[in-house]
Amino acid sequence: MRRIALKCLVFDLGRLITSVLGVAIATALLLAQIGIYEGMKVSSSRIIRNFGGDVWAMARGTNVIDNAEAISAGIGPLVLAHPCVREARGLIHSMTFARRPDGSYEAVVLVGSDPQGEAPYFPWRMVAGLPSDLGHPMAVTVDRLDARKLGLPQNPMGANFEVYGQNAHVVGVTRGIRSIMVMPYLFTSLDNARAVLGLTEGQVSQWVLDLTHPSCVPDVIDWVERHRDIQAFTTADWAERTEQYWIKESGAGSMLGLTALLGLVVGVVIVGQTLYSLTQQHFKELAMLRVVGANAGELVSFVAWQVLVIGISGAITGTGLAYGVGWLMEQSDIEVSLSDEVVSFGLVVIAVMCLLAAAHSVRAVLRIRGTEVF
Amino acid sequence: MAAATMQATDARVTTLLRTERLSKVYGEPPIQTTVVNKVSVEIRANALTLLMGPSGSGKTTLLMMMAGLVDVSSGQVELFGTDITGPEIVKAPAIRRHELGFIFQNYNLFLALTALENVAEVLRLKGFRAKVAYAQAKEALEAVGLGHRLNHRPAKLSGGEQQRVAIARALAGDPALIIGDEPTAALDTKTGQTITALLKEVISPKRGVLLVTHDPRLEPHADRILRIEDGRIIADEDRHG
Ligand SMILES: Nc1ncnc2c1ncn2[C@@H]1O[C@H](COP(=O)(O)OP(=O)(O)OP(=O)(O)O)[C@@H](O)[C@H]1O
Ligand SMILES: [Mg+2]
Repeated sequence: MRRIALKCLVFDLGRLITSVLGVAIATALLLAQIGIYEGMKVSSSRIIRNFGGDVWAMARGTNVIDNAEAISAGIGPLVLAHPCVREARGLIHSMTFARRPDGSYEAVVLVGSDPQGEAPYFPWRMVAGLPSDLGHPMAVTVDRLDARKLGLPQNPMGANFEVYGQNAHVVGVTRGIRSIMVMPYLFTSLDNARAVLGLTEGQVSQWVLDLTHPSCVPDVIDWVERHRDIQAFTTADWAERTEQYWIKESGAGSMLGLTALLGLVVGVVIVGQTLYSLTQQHFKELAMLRVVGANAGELVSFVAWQVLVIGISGAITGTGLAYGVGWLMEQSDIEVSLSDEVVSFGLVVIAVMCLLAAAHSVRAVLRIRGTEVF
Repeated sequence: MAAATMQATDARVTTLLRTERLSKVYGEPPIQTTVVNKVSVEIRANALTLLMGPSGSGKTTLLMMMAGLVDVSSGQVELFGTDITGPEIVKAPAIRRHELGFIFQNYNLFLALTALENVAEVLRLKGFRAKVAYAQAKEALEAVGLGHRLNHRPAKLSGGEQQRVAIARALAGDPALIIGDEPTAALDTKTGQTITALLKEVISPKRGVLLVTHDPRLEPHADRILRIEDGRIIADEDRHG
């Protein structure tokens, strides 16, 4: 039956191409939407996940890392006092403004942290300079993707520009570290960040605690939260809260979901139409096969082979398209995460879409008794 | 082959199919129509049997019951020794695969397939391996005079040639009974005669042909004519006397 099914499919070349394109577009739309959604999640919680640690402590009422207020200098020694806390790393994460050489302003996110102990290398993905250079007065990193936005040369290494009234010096370049708000990240030391933001010695916006043992987590959170100005979460919790905040706040979740759904509906309709009209066109011949002794399963395989070919060629084309679209969007500042998980999930959904599209034809074929041919 | 196991000493009387008071009633009481009415016939090998009657007399219905495609209302059909009106109805598809060849008024060829593929792919569905199927298909097409048209698609063939492809499809795999429902109705007189002559040629001591028609021009070719009216067999004429 394979040869019959596939020859009939190829014979109707126009329909074949339309339906393969239908699957391809549905696949590309779906993958791009999931990719953008995942990209939003990844970029919104990137700082948290990269900074790591076991427990994060910040001003009570903070709902997202981007809105964290500075907390008072006394909190540091306090969180360190718990016997389970091996290390407390301060982090300053604050929006501020940089000034381009032409005098205009650009909103940026200033991230201050100090290399400390065995803590993860931070900032990560540096393509020029060393994290230790950030200790120099007003030394910052700029991301390669943001150089143009800040009016700096394509290789911003060594350039000077103004950050909130202070003269900053570029000592390092990162690669592809982007914030959800499409604001450039400038990494620097805690002292430099305090100097720019006018904070006093010991002030940070969050404390990241490394514990001696993960089983201490609930106890430490309890203990930190006894201070009425401070709240604490596990790292995973805090990352997830931040992701949820951005997805809700931007309304992106439902928008992306709707677009993906639209792609799927279009895919089901186009593929369903093609399969059904192929089945209708060959109704008499299929009935003839039933008469000469083909069983129902063999008739179903007429539809199955066709949907398989349409689905696989469409999915391959569509995945290629999605990677292309993803690459283009990355160039224009939108992060698209086409991880293996995203692609596998998307392809499973496309497979289900194809099955749905085939259902109508399969039902029609199963109704063939053979008598129709006389 | 089941036909051979029937062990008739005289090949001419090998019975391929037998019906016993076979009836088909459509509808629910009180509005019922008896379309086939207590038909008892035997279809034998080595003969071209015509089933003739006016439109609506029940010819197609009878044929479909004989092939196990339509449930009977009462009576029996014994197809190659198997009573397919009872629980053995499940064997009907296998019997159709191995013992029956079908020809229809419309040729029902796949337009996307060549003549050779149209014949061979059906053989493959019947369980033949690809190589064997294509070899036998070629043989069957040569037997119906289409050896030079193997790789033509139906659109490039005349109606008569298309029906010959359909006959090759019915013959391939060597079934013992060829059943045709108005196989000449869509053809002009001359082509119809040629097709009938061809079907006459394929009968053998092991093989019979049963054709439904209401075309009297086919009568001269027949070995036997069954006449049906209002679902009843009203005459059973042996043309050899
Ligand atoms: N499924 C059905 N339900 C009800 N009536 C039916 C059904 N199938 C056939 N009939 C009726 O049974 C009668 C016989 O039909 P059948 O097709 O067997 O006739 P036929 O002899 O083959 O006619 P024709 O020469 O026109 O093909 C017709 O009156 C038809 O309307
Ligand atoms: Mg009829």
